[in-house]
Amino acid sequence: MNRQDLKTIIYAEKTKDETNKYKHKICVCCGAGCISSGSEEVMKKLQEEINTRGLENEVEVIPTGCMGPCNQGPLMKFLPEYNIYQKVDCSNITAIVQSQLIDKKPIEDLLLFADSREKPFINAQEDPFFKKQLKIALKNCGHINPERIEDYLVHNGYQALDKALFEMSPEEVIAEVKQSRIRGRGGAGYPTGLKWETVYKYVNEQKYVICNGDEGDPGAFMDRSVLEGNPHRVLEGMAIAGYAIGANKGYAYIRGEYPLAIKRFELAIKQAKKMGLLGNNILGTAFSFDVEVRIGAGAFVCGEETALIASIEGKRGTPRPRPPFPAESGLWGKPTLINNVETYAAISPIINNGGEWYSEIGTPKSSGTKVFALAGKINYAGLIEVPMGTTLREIIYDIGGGIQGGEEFKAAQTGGPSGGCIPAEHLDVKMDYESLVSLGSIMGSGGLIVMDKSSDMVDVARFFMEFCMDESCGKCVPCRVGTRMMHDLLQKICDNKATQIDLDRLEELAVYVKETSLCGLGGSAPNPLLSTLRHFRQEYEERIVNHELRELH
Amino acid sequence: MKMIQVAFIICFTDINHSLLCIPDVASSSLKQYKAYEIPSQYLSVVARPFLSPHKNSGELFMKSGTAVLEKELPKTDPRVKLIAAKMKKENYKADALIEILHTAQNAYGYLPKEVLSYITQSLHLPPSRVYSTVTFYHFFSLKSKGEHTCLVCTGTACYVKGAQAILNEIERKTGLKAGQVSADNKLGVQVARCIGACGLAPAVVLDDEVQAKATPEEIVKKINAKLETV
Ligand SMILES: Cc1cc2nc3c(=O)[nH]c(=O)nc-3n(C[C@H](O)[C@H](O)[C@H](O)COP(=O)(O)O)c2cc1C
Ligand code: SF4
Ligand code: FES
Ligand code: FES
Repeated sequence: MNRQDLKTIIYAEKTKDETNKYKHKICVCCGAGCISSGSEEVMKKLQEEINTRGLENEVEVIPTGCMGPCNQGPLMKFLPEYNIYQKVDCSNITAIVQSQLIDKKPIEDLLLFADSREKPFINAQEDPFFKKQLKIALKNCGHINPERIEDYLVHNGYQALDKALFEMSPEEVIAEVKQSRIRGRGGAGYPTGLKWETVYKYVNEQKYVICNGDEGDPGAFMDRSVLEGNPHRVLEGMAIAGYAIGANKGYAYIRGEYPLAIKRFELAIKQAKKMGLLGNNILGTAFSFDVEVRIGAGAFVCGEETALIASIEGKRGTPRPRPPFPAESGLWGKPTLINNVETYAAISPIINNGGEWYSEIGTPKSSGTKVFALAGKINYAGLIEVPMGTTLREIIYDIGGGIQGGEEFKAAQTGGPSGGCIPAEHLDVKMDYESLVSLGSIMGSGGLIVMDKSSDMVDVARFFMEFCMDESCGKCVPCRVGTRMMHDLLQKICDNKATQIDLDRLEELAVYVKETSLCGLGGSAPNPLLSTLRHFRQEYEERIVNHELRELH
Repeated sequence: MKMIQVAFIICFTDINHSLLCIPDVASSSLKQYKAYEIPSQYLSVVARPFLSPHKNSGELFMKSGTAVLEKELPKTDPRVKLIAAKMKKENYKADALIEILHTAQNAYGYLPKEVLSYITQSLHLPPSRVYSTVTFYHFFSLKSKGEHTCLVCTGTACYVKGAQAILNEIERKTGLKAGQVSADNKLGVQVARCIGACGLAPAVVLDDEVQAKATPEEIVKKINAKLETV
């Protein structure tokens, strides 16, 4: 298919939308969260209801990806009114359809957040949960059917690829990405434009693009939701990256725990190939690009780039020393670009709207938006996207609706096992790369877990250390032995059996492990420990003092 | 992140002691070393690379260096056909090992010894390579996981929301700890590190069906219901 054919298809789809025979559109959230609360059943029932009322030519029912407030699911959204119903049960579908489509009056008691706000917002866009967000990477998530490429095409899909291929040289694409100042969303926050340029500069007939969808941070589901809600966006980002750096082959490494994401991404590849948006001579140009999915097999360390490469090569996923960095010698020794799912998802808006536009969002050092997965003791757990620099307080109280049961906020954990805790006195911290590091945490991939007083911070540190101990690949001694020793010491403190000597030893070890581990897993394993020690030292000391007192008696 | 990788050295001073020598980062030259003694109970962890895969893979299926097919796999078994087709599709390439293992694990629910031997032979790989890959990844299991599986998520969100209470209740009622399978192979209890339904924590997966916002009582009830319907 060439460029003209694509335009014709998009035009046909668009006019179909405009001369729309459908007056209403009902989106049913079929993200993994809502599916587990029964949304597939709801969707079936809804379609039946529409059919029995003979409305099937007026009302279109589509499944979509995650809409955001996952713990209120299953969710059902009526467009164009933008009324969202929460916790939809098969038993009240008839009533909802009746009042929404026939009586033209929403049932307020069933609307989103009706049970927790004094008065729900009829138009959900007015709700602070959505109003405070700015969706770029998640833009079409929850609006389009992820299993139909046409839906994506109508929403400006593959326009950025088209623009890059026909109007820009690879250098210009890289310049645009550099100008956006976007930084990698996988954790370390390395400037994406620079990384692309580095890979571009290595001369080699074979280069690779890898999408890191291993999302190992337990308690985070951003990448999953993007892959499930809008797989084509990621695919488009990868293809643009391939064009920019001169690669013709891409791999998407997706966690094995995410069967739905794998299924939808594979489907997306198939559809894109059929339309000539992937494969040989894309849109009739000289550029060819193919993508293959690789399924992870449940090892956290495989999120680390060199381990991920080993895993794609079919080996044990153990990291290797860098340099050489993958940009120079990656997959099968060839120059390789690795970026996170969310990074790729942000590429097409950058190409469409320009790097400058993106760079003006967020803060000077951290541009753009970040997707966070809110979870833990928070009222509205779910998936949100906010401009960088939004404060933690806004995220937790304005968007997240505060702490469950009106309890007091104690700490928020960011960055998972490589990150740290932010205590209550720093609630006004701006969420950007530098501010979080200055508090001893990291941005990480975007998991944000809220804790109230029921969480014991020493046990939290022990929990993460146990995780790192289990997930250590065992290649180097400081991490393999150090995490185990630190875990045992933390367990001892948790059991009220530790002395001051143990605590000193723990701190000493933490520094050694951090300094001498081979890869980021060991290098950041002590972070949760160090950050809880920094902000909640008295919880550690209470245990130790108590113990000594007991010995005196 | 620091760019230089600081080297470390392990010295085994005698059978019960090992020292971790670390360059003193505080000193200006990196030539000064600090020694850190590792307690003797960790010696096996220190020495683990010298102890494991080869020995175990030998137990599994190695005789004098090559893999042996102890039990011929029935070629008509649809599961064997599935694996054979997958290997053919991947051109018997060694780098597709993980993909092939996924296929086998999905077909059998675990990786039986003879299936591993079959894959090892077909791909012309050393058994230790296959064994070490299988044991590296949590997804692969060498033992049956039980007819019914109860997978409790112990990721951070679920941990904060009380996953441990669910595990405790399961153990109290069924006597099974995480990672164990009942003697009659009817039920297996496992833990996972996040299944991506964190907004609905705590999450439990009962036979591939996600139970959101699980409570201990409800899960035990559902397990019992599963065990009763044969
Ligand atoms: C232990 C460890 C785990 C990691 N896990 C992930 C992960 O799950 N997803 C991810 O995108 N990056 C992960 N990373 C970071 C990657 O190594 C790499 O920096 C990233 O994929 C680069 O993409 P970006 O520049 O778009 O952030 C991990 C790093 C380490 C050290
Ligand atoms: S730091 Fe840990 S995970 Fe990384 S290479 Fe060393 S042992 Fe493996
Ligand atoms: S999965 Fe439905 S709102 Fe997130
Ligand atoms: S932490 Fe349990 S589903 Fe993510």
